[in-house]
Amino acid sequence: MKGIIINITERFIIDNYGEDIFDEIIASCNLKTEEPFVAPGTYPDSDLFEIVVKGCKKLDLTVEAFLKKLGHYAFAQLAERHPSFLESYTHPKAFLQTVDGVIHLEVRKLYQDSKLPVFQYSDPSKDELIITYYSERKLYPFLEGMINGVSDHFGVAISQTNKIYQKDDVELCDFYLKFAE
Amino acid sequence: MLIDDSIPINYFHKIIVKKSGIALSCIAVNNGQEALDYLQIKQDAQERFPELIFVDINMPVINGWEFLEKFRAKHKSILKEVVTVMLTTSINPDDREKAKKLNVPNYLPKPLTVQVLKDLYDSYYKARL
Amino acid sequence: MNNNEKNILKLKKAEWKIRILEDMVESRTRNLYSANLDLQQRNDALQEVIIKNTELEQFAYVASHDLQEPLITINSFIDLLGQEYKGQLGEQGNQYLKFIADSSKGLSDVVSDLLHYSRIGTNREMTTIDCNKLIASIESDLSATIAKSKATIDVNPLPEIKGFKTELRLLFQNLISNAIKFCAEGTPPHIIISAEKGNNWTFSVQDNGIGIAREDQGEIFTIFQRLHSKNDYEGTGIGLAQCKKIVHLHEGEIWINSTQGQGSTFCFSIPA
Repeated sequence: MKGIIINITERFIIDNYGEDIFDEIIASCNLKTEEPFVAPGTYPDSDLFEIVVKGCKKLDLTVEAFLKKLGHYAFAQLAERHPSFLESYTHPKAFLQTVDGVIHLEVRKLYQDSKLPVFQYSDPSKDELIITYYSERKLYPFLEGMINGVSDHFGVAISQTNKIYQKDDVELCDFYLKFAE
Repeated sequence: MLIDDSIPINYFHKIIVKKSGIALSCIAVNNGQEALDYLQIKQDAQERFPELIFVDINMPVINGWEFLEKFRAKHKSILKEVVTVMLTTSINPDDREKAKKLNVPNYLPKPLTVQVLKDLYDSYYKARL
Repeated sequence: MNNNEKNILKLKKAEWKIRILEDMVESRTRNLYSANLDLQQRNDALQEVIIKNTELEQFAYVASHDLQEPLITINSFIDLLGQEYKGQLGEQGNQYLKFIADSSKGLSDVVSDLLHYSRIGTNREMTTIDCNKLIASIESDLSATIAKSKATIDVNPLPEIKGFKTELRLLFQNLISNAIKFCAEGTPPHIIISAEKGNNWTFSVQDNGIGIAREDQGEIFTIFQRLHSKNDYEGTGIGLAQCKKIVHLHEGEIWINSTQGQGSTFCFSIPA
């Protein structure tokens, strides 16, 4: 897991629940990493999961709910940090389709050895989009939260459902998105 | 007039010219400068100029193009009377382009043949008689 | 822990982060430097190859060009000798002369082909070419050969492509001439030319000639490689090498499908 996601998670907890809660959560974590997390660094996935799990415990949230809120927050953070990816788009559908081809490409350039999820797109009609998501880490609620963040950014309501299924022994998740007028 | 730095080629072409019967006389020189000197002498003495000049393109010191340039500059007055033909060892498309640009309508591969000479004669000189 | 201690801890953590980031920057800069060095070395090597290649091309051109003139001289005087001294040479003398003349002609052909080969790709101007018109023009040039061999040529609709006109003409001409030349005895040559569109345009020139055995198919595109003796089929063996060079000039590939005795189909691709 790249440090930037862990940093965002840290900031999410601090912004929403305060520094003291954050300190308590971290104190309760059994992290493999001793030094502070920096954005370009690479850390074990388990460290992020440890923070999430312990955070949920402290905040009395389900992991699902936590990840969803985190995803929403994360998108806003990333949008602020890298506005150039959003500037030329006025509708979330067009933007979302650039994530796999454009944004993730740039991410790989910036952050070596980042393991990114893979997206495939299908376009059933003008105001619908299906994103087929594959990731080893299966962070489906996180993506759901990010999509909500996208909706906020563009000011276009997006209603979404998702379906997890197996294909050729691989677990995939289809996100069905419907964009409001 | 034959201008070619190769003695055997000039020798051969002289034979061909003789066989074709189109010329009263034929002079061969080995470089562009010699040719220009000869032409200058003829002009000064107001003697008969060669009416058909074959120039090899690839010659050392002064090549065929340079000769043509100098000849056209020095002897403007008699240009109309003289037909110049550029000769080359290969049909090089670059040279062909150059010939077009410099307005040299006659551009032929070596060696000359009796037929080529007869055709040239028919095109340029028959009408004059 | 009071606020003061908390702040000191925060500061220490921040400083630690800075140090980690600085280390990362240093290590990245070092990597960048060696990547750059590597790139520079590769570039230098590439430059050397380009220079050597240009030298070789020039060498081939100059050598064949400067060989032409003495050859013209030799051929001219052989002709004269033959014409003017025919009666006086006797049978043996005439035979000697014939051998000299044939060898000299053979040498001229090789030098001329080499000259053409080395010139492929020196004209760097690409134009749009209507292949249908190109084939029609080639058929016109080869009309005597076509008539003599009673060859039939079927041309399916061909596209317009971007390329080097002189070279493409030579490419098609060589393939068509070969199809006519290497025909089966007693069977007039039948040639089918077509094109298919995929990522590239794939052209094919199919004939009903003598075909090429599988074990020979590898070497036919090599310069001056001949599969048959000069007595059976004339030519220096440069035609297909020229075709290959021309196809590569257009960033395409050339290959053959053939069975001995059952005709050949030469295919080549040109990027659309």
